[in-house]
Amino acid sequence: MLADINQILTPHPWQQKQWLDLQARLERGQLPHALMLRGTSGTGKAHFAVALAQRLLCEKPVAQAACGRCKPCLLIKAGSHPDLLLMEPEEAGKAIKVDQVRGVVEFVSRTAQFSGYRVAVICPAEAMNVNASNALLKSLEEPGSRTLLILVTHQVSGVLPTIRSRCQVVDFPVPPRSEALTWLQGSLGEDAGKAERLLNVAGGAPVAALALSQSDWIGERATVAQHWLGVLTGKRDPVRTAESWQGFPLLELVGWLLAWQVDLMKVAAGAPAQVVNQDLLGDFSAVQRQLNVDRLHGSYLHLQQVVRMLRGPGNPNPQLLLEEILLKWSQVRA
Amino acid sequence: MNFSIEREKLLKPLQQVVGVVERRQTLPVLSNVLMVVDGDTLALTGTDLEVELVARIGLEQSFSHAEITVPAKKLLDICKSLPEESQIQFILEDQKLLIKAGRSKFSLATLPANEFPNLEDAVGQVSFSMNQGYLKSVIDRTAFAMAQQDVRFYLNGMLFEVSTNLLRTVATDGHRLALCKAQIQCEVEKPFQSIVPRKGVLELAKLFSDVDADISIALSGNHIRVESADLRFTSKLIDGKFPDYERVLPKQGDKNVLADKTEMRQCFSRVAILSNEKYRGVRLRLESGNLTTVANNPEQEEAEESINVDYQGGELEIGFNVNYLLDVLNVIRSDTVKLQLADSNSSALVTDAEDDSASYVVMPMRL
Repeated sequence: MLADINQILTPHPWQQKQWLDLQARLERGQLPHALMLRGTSGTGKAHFAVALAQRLLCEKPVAQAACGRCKPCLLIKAGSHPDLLLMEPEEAGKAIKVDQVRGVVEFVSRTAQFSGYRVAVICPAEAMNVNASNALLKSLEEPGSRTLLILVTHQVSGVLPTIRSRCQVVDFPVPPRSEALTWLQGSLGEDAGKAERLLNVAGGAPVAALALSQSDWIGERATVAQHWLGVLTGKRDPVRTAESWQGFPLLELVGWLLAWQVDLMKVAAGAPAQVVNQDLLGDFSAVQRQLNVDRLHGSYLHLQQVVRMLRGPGNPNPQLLLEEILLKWSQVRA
Repeated sequence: MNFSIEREKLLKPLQQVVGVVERRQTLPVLSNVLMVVDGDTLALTGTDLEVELVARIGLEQSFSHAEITVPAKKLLDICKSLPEESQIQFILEDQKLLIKAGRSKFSLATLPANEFPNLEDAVGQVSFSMNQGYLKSVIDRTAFAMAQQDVRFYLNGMLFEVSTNLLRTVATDGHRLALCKAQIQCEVEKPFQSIVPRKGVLELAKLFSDVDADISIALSGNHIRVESADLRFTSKLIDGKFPDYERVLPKQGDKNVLADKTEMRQCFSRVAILSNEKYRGVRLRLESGNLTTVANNPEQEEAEESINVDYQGGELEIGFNVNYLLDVLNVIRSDTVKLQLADSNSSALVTDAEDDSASYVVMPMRL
């Protein structure tokens, strides 16, 4: 959670270009009033947004970063800076509600407490539902002077076009593999093999890889994959498998399934080198002949729908949801 | 931190400061009150990030400098529940604030003072002083017209406009407008405008109402700061442009009506009973020397009442939201009210017949 950040951040090494570019624009007084940080999840965009906010609110920045010692910096560390607003879903993975956005609107309509910037970070922007997005439009169009709204998005297609068009976009591509590996090894302080494995699982996104290393059930991944492939080949019963998956966090689980299906499609299309989860490549190739590509695609679309459902306001029954996913999946076999 | 103070000296300022702190706070430090001991003064600060109130209390003797924040509500409850005239001692020990009085002992959790978002001293761009009761009266005479949670956020507050020797307060919700002028001593090059948010306006009228004391008011681009001998109140401003109120004041009204305020108010409030509950529309029919007020509602019920007024001129029929008229009549102080009308599609200008410092504009309704 962004609100738990209680230290001064500096951008990640692979974000230097974007950072320097924004610093230069700041010095020229050409910083826009709304920025959209766009890129795949897990590359550290929220981290960058917070670092930028801290830099803007600091009274005496040192080497283009917040000093960590002035009064605003102390307040940032305490999480009580009055001119900084961090907006994220109340529950992880759920929507940002219209009431929360009204808080942003009010924040932007009031003058700053200190004489500097007012900064609001909204992360992720696609979590705002239609009402919430519309409530933000007016403020996003013309906030007062010295105001910056930073919208972070992992999936730009989920953001209303009217929101997108009011922001200047900054792109955050997946960093070069070597850079990501160096950083990940530095953060993990462990052997290179593990870093490489994690980075594979996370699709090359280093921050996501780091988060994976801390999750309790990463060890279960291989089992989940075997179960999943077992359902496809008819060796396992979908309903029983759904029952055994009960304990897993649904959204992450579905995220994995999505990534694996994309990889399977790549294998089926004859591009095994592009497969992100290289450790599972052998298994994927083994089942490749048994796939019906049309139904594979259908199952993929269904999974995307499930993600939307999980992010929405409803509260679906996990057992039924998993059964539906796996039953559809068992029919992908040609 | 180690000092002592009488309960009675602490209680009232503490109540005022806690009144500013909102109950429902997401940040723990905001539900705390900042206590600063410096020499022989104790300063208490409360904030909800929009308004801040600092109360200064004189201590019997000098103590060494110290600062800490403690939960505001709990501190107030403790001080309130202690017996009258007890001497309360505060000691800071291992990040806990010990409170001792008589044979009672309390230990409160604290948060460091540097996490508290209090304001630094700022220089006002425009500053002047005026009597507290005078400020309260100009606020009270206009505050009712402020909008509430309007999407046009610049209407959810009151405009303070300072020009040379003149303070204007203006409030409007888009349907009616209230404007009041006050004489002050102040030199400015060009009029300075600030929009004070609704909460700040209401707090101002509540905190400063002593007719025998003066306050100093300082406006800057970001804040309004009002300071009396023992209180300092600061509010953020609304970052927006207030509508040009001069253009709203009707100029071509040629039909002048003078009426007894009390009689008119009673007439309106009786007729209002049978007006539409949602739109509150009433019809005013003017003839020479007579004003008839008519209301009816969807249930086909009807109310009608005539009063004598001082009016010469042609007949006129015009509709209004009766609540808007009653709001104005409630803040007019003399016995006679003056209405200036043009035709049934133009706004009415309502003033006190004996005092032109306040003017009110009410838009008509089509009924």
